[in-house]
Amino acid sequence: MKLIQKKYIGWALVALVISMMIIAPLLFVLEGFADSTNENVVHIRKYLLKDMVWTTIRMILGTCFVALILGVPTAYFVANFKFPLRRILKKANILPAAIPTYIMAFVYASIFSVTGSFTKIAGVFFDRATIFGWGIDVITEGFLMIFLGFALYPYVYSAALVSFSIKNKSMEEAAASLGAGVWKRFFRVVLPLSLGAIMGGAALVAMEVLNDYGAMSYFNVQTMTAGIFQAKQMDFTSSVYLSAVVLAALIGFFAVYFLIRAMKRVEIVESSISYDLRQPSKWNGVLISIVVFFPFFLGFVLPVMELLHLAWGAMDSIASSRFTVVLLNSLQLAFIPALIIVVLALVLLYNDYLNPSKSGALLSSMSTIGYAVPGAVIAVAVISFVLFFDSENKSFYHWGINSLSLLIFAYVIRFLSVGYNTLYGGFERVSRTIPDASRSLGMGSFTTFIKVYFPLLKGAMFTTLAIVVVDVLKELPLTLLLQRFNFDTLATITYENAKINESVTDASPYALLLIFVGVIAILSLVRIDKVK
Amino acid sequence: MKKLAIIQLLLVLILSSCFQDSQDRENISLTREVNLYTDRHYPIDDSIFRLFEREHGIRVNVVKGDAQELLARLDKEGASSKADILITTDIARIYQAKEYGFFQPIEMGEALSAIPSHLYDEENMWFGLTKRARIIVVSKDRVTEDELLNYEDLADPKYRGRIAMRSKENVYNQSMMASIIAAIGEEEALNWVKGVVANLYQSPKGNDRDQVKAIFAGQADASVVNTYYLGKMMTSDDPLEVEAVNSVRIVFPNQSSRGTHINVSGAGVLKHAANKEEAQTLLTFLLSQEIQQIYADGNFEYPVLQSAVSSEIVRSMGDFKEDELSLNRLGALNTTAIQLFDRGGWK
Repeated sequence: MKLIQKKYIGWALVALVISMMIIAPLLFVLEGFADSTNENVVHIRKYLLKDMVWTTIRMILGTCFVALILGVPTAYFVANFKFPLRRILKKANILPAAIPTYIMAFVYASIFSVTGSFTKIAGVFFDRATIFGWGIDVITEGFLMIFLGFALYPYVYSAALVSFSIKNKSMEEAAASLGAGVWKRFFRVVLPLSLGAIMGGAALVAMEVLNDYGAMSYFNVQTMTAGIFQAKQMDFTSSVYLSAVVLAALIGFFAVYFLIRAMKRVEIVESSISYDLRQPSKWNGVLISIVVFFPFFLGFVLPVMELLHLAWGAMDSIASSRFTVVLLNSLQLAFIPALIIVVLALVLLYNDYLNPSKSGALLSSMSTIGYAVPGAVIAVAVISFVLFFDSENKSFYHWGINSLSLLIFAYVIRFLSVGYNTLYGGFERVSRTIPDASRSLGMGSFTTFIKVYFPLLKGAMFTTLAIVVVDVLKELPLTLLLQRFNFDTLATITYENAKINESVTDASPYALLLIFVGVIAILSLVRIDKVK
Repeated sequence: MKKLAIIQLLLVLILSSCFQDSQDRENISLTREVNLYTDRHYPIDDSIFRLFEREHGIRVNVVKGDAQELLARLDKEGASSKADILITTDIARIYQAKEYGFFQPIEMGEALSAIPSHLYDEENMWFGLTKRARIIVVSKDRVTEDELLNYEDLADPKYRGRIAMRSKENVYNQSMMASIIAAIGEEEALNWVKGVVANLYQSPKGNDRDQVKAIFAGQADASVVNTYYLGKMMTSDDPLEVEAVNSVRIVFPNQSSRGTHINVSGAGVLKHAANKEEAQTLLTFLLSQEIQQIYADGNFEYPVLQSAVSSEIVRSMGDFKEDELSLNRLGALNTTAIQLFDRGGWK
């Protein structure tokens, strides 16, 4: 194993400080273990825990399954075939990621509610008794998996698309020349080679599922998050214990994940040859268009149409001045942490390259654990952390709340993982020979960083920025807990209206604006790797 | 190039928003202020606070959040908290705040004596701002006028598969459960939970409006909802929603016994309030005839002030006898209520 070279100790130190800043507040969650004899915790263990664990596993597996079904074939077709509207649909299939899971669930529940659009449209053809006789009811665990899958499949799709577009083409062509058919090639060559990337996408889906509270609570699906909520109802200080259980489980999960990743370090070196897309027959092309349009329709077109329809009737209830303020709040709050995250992720990754060591890589991996921790838990951990070190009059804490610094800090803890993993893909694709050459020509590590990595990673950085912005825009529980006085974001207002006032109609204009900002960010900044 | 332009534009927007105070109100310079943590997310509250600012020249700063989260934040902040007032939508949470010693006695003189004694704390730690009743709704077509008159009837085996309920996580259900425990005792209350669970047409879910809709669609025949959601449905822009609420009959339960369970939006002054005087001015203002009337008309809640009248819509639901059990007792029974739900299998 290579030892840390003295030369780059500065980078190692900076990376270490970053990691510690991220990990340290989370350690404050573990104080919850001191609480395990609390009678409420005992009650939850006795009556609910087993059920909650199973429900959580079911929800994660079910939602991942839906996301895979929607994401993987779509990515495969886009990566390999020419078909009508391909360029548009390629980007379109990322857009559902701009819709928060809770909005997706609320909107679909609204469409199929007894008084919703479905009843109204069906009412043109059937009488009321017939429609009610069908007993349509989508507020169930199974449908929730589907609706969450609609919102989350883009994570799988984009991961799979990058992998399908770059890594496997040569192998697949080789398999084709040996006479393997389409299906055989897909299942025996393409899929196994891209499994890592697809699983990475699915892991993001799983963590989003773990983190959702709004939709789960409306559908009354009792995952671990619901357990934390109930513990909090019984005694708002005792929920820390369950959070600690979740965190401990996640640390274990990450350790295993890291070991697996460390074991298969063999990556196929990217070749510079580009491959032509295959040209299917005209009708097959149209068929592929329809198949690729289908997830986009369910995940974006339909819910946005419903929101537009609802907003049409609610327009008069909106104060336009408030609209602007809330929009600006949300933008400010999304871009600042996103910029910080891009910089931190770059430093961590560059340090991984300069000072390759198992402990360094483990540290980087650990500092991305925040994504899996429920937002409300991170918020309380951050408060505990800051107050612990603060002066007697807690002036730093109050400054942190008022300047939104604590909120931004918490976002960074939560979403560094997204930035790190998105940039990781970009970093991997930079051939090591270039920076090595730069350094052998006597350029310092910092110059190499600025002059070589920066330009090469520009596209990946914009993509990362957009993806983090979209994630922060959607974030809810963290924002609610660490907000300063008189502060609203698009996400908090949307949630208030949909959940507490029980009116998706009142929420719809804000939800649409939230989605619109996300869409703009995605369309203007995201670069999916170009395939000719 | 185009991309750079977009990014520049965004940056300008962001930076400009950093330097402006995020207030969407007239730029009046108010030197005095009062800070609220509130779980009430109703738009009507914002207009009431603007009214207060104009009348009293005291600025109202608000953090809105879930009650549990606000309590957790208060707990962590301790003596350094900037909050002066805590408002919740339910007695259980306001009681928890009292138990944890978050409040100090309110000194509002005459103002408190204008509301009924069961709607404020004996030690003046909190009082009810508005009232809501948790009532039974039944299908007009499938349930006759003289059956299903009490909460207890919901557990009657003759309604097997005909009852709709929302989840135990809902704090209004928890407080209703607490009132039942107080009335019939823990053991009977557990049997009641089991009876209701056996009668459910489906596992609990959805919100209050969804329970009414389930009855409208014929999936269930009876449920329990808060009065103000009915008011909102009756005045909805959506004709189908109005039709849904018109398909149910409102039953104020237990009129021949203890009365209908009521709940309050509660408010209290926090122990470490730096602006205690302003806080009490605001709370006194919220109990004034004018504001109580706004609560009643704008949000279909029952005013706590006896001289204020309910909105026309709410009055159309009828008068009722309310359960005058001490609300603190409901708060004290909250944890037991949750435990009974779990033991009886109410999801």
